[in-house]
Amino acid sequence: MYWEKYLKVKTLHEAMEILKLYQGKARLIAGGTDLVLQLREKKKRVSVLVDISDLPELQYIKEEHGQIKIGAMTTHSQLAASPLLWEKVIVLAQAASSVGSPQIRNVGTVGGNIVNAQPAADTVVALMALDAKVVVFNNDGGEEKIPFSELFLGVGESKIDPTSQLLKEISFSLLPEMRSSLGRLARRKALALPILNIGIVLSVNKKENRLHEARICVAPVAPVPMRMKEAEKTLLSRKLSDELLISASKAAFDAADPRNSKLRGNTAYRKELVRVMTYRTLKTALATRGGVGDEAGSITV
Amino acid sequence: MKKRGCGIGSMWYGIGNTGLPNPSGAFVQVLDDCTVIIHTGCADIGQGSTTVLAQIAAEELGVNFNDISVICADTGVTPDAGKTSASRQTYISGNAVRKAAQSAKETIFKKGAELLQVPEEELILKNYQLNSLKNYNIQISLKEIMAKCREDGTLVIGHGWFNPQTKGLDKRGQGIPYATYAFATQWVEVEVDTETGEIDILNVVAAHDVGKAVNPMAVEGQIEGGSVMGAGYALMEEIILDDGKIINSSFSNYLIPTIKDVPCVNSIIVEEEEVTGPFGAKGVGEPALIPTATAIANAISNALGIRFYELPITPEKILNSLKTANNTNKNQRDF
Amino acid sequence: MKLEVLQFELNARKVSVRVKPDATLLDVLREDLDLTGAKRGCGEGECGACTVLIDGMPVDSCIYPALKAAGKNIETIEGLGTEDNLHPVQKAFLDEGAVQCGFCTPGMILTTTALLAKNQSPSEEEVKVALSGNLCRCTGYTKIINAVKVAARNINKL
Repeated sequence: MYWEKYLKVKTLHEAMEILKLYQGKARLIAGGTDLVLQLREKKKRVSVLVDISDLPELQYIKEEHGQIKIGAMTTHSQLAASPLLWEKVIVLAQAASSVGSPQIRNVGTVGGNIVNAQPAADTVVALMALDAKVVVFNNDGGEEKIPFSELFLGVGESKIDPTSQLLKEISFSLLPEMRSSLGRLARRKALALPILNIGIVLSVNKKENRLHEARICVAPVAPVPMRMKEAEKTLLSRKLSDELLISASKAAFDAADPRNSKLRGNTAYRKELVRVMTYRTLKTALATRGGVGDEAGSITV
Repeated sequence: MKKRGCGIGSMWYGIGNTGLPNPSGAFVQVLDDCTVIIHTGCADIGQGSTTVLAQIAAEELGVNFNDISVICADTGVTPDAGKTSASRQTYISGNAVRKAAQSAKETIFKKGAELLQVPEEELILKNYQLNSLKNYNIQISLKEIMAKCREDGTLVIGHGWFNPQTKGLDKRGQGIPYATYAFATQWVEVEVDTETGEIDILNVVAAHDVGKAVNPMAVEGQIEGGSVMGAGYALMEEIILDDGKIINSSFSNYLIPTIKDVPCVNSIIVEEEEVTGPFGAKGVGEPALIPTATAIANAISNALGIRFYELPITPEKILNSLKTANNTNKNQRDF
Repeated sequence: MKLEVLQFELNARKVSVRVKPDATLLDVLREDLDLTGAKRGCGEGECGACTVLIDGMPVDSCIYPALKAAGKNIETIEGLGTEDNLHPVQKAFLDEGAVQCGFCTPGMILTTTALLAKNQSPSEEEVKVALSGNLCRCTGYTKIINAVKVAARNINKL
């Protein structure tokens, strides 16, 4: 038997009470598109599953004071269909549209994608680039905020413990003149884990033709999605130009250290893709619009 | 940069088992109400053989397709028809069913000749009606014949079997391995991304000589499906071993093409009737898959000027080959 | 093992069934309710042969815990049409030859039904995106895409 009890709760409070009662033997389940398989393959074990996926208070996408806030049980389909995200945060809308298949996106949630902590989870790559934070409820009644940069410990391991904690909300700030894009390569055009995922978020200073801010997240090139700090620094160092994008891509190439994989390809090939895709995704991102205060659309380099 | 190229792949394929006997048998019974039951061991695994065999019997007996029922692939009651493999069922079981129908028809003709007082050779069975070819006014309905058969206790049952004329191969590989062959040519256009190695199939045109297309829609379906399987074979399908163990034995890591990975296939049916086939038909099952990978590999080499001798041609292999090619003297290329 | 009561709406009828707590929706449909239209292909959400509609959305029932479906509205291929009165999508699939071995067909048809409920005249690209979670090994997809286009036209004529 994969689990003994399956409880669908009506309130957040009820969910936390059950977790407390079972003291580690109960675990939250969202869409379950990964978890059900992991339990079946005995990669994870649990007695009681507490289903929070239908709680309306965990399903929303809203903009408040320059911040986007997303309820953890929002499905990938809901993210992918959000006009707000397509208008202001393209990278996240693209990431949500890239997950698995329509069937998986209809059930799988952004919260589940985060807690499950797979090394190239599409929405995680986007949210890392968006410098997002999560709000987590503890079963002692407390609440904490964790930035994405501290959230992941290793393959399949996040700081959030679903036997005692509930991921409630994901939030991030919109940047002035924000540009973003997701670059993704896979062995086929649908239903495939990425060979490479790149989330890019930029804040543009159009007057000076430079970037205020640049964030590049690449996966899977390490056990957890990786911010390319050197490449980001390079992008801020001088005015925008094609050469600048090329040097930033080179910096990302230097920093990436993917392993040889019989399924995903060897290190040299995957590093080369980091270079090519960083450059291309930077180009696409600069050609988009988004964030706050964006009037004139794309800029050219 | 994206580069485009076109390639052609051609093939011939022997229908049936190589140089071995591979017979198929069938029973056909015409019932009092003029409906027909076929018993055949032929397993329809989606290729449409049940439909095709019913069409062949209907054509032979001059009755409607809807009046035929097919009992198939039940070892308890159906005669052996051999495997559904080697693209052989339309050709071999099709012949068996046709011969069984002809044998049932002999009983009908015999009875008809007796009732109409004309020689059997003069008769034709069409639209549930037996007519004299010499005088169309001499006629009798199939139903009447069946009723007369019932009266004198004759059952209208035929059996038929067919074994393609082959000759086993000798030590030198010489003989007659197949009684007939399918032929095909496919043309493919691809676009290759020279920086990521990604390959897009833009167009597939697949022309197949199937003898006679008993069911053109089903033939197209076989061609389209085979071509897509061939595209998977060319670009992504591979069993990966680690220490002798298969590490990609599930649909999540043994990838086959999704609907987004392939274009619609343009199929062209070429009908060059095969004299030994039922109404001229041969087979199309495997032939549809065979030339696709060749055509794709040729298209890629046309786009890049590099030959690939190993499948699948993955993006990684493309990039590696491009790198090697850049390191050698470009003028030495023969494309 | 204690069985749990699961209640949901199935093909426009209220259903109550006792299920194992770790059963999937596909287990319950096929084994307990004898609805074998939804197929078990890969059993891991990678092929779409087990697709059913939950509240109108295509879902892989092979990895969907049965008890998750409590209170929801489930549609399977059995609820779509009958042999004498086919649903326009079923009819289009037959007319266009989009069915060969038939294993992916119930999933393809349900996914198409959900698409056409949202988008009455989808482009070829939209059809491909919608059906990208339904693998087919034998038709080559060409006739499936045609069938979806024909179904869309026929539904619009109704």
